[in-house]
Amino acid sequence: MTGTGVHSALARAGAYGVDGVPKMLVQGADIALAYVHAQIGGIVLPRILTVRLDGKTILSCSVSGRRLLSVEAGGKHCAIAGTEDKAAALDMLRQAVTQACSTPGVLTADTCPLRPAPPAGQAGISADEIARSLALARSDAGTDRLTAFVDSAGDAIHAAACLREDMLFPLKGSEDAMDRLADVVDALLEDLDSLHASFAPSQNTPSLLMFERPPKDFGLCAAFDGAQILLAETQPRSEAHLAHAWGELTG
Amino acid sequence: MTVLADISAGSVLAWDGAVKWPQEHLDALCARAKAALSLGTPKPQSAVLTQPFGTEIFVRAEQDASEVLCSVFAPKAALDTVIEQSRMLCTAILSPENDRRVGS
Repeated sequence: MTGTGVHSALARAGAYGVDGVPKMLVQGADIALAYVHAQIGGIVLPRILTVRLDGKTILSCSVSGRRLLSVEAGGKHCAIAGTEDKAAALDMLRQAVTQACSTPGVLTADTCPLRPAPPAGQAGISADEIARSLALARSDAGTDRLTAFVDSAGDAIHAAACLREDMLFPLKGSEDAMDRLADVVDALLEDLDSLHASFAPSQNTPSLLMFERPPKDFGLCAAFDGAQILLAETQPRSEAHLAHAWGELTG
Repeated sequence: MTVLADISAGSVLAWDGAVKWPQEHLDALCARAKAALSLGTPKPQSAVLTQPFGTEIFVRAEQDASEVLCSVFAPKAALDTVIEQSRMLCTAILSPENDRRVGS
């Protein structure tokens, strides 16, 4: 799915970060479960997700392709291999979060690479299944808008990845295009914080910045939506088309 | 609104437009042009920033040139036309070849 450059860029993204560790002040289990679900729904590459309340680990999960593969909480481990495991894993997740979050506190989540990476497939439980099983509303609207932009841009975007918190999520692209994009991401990482501050000064101001850089074989665009940044390799001279697609989504 | 700026000095060289902008707005536009066209290596030749309240186009005539033409358009502007026209205008007024023609 991705080239080695993306993994390099991912490591750099982890080193620099864009917006720090995601935090949420929670005052009940429902909000905490929605927070954990949003983290799972945002992870594409294989990662171990660790959720802490006031710095104390309450839950650790293996996640890949927005699918929960295993849960570890309270000294117990549940790998999801069959239907019964799904119910047991979700029960463990719900209990761990509910018990820990009965009193107000600050939830944080961080991730590290999952090694060895599991094979791609339909193992585990998808984020959508988790939301349905736990009766949660979807909370990753920002990612949805960036994904919708990539879809509506069509061939004008060759490769795209979303940088969110400390993770880079590939959204589209062949291995070659993704490698070129990863090189660009790698070169720009140190500038991303200032870029975000310059062009997306408000969380409520979605912005699209498009570049033409020599050599002119490819363009580059950065879309800012809240704390998320979409980086994409684009067709040269496609700015008007991309701006139109962006305008349709952001109004 | 069209502004000619020197992004290395951070100064506005000239401007024209239907609406008179206060100096601080012109300075902020110049700062955005500098931020956009200073990103990475090689430096971008042009940049287009689209936000809900309009579109800004930053173009330099030559690679690494510090003189930049900045144009500001309202939402719903015909970007397919104005982006290309901004590039042509930038070339017309900032190209060194034109300097030589003017001087001869």
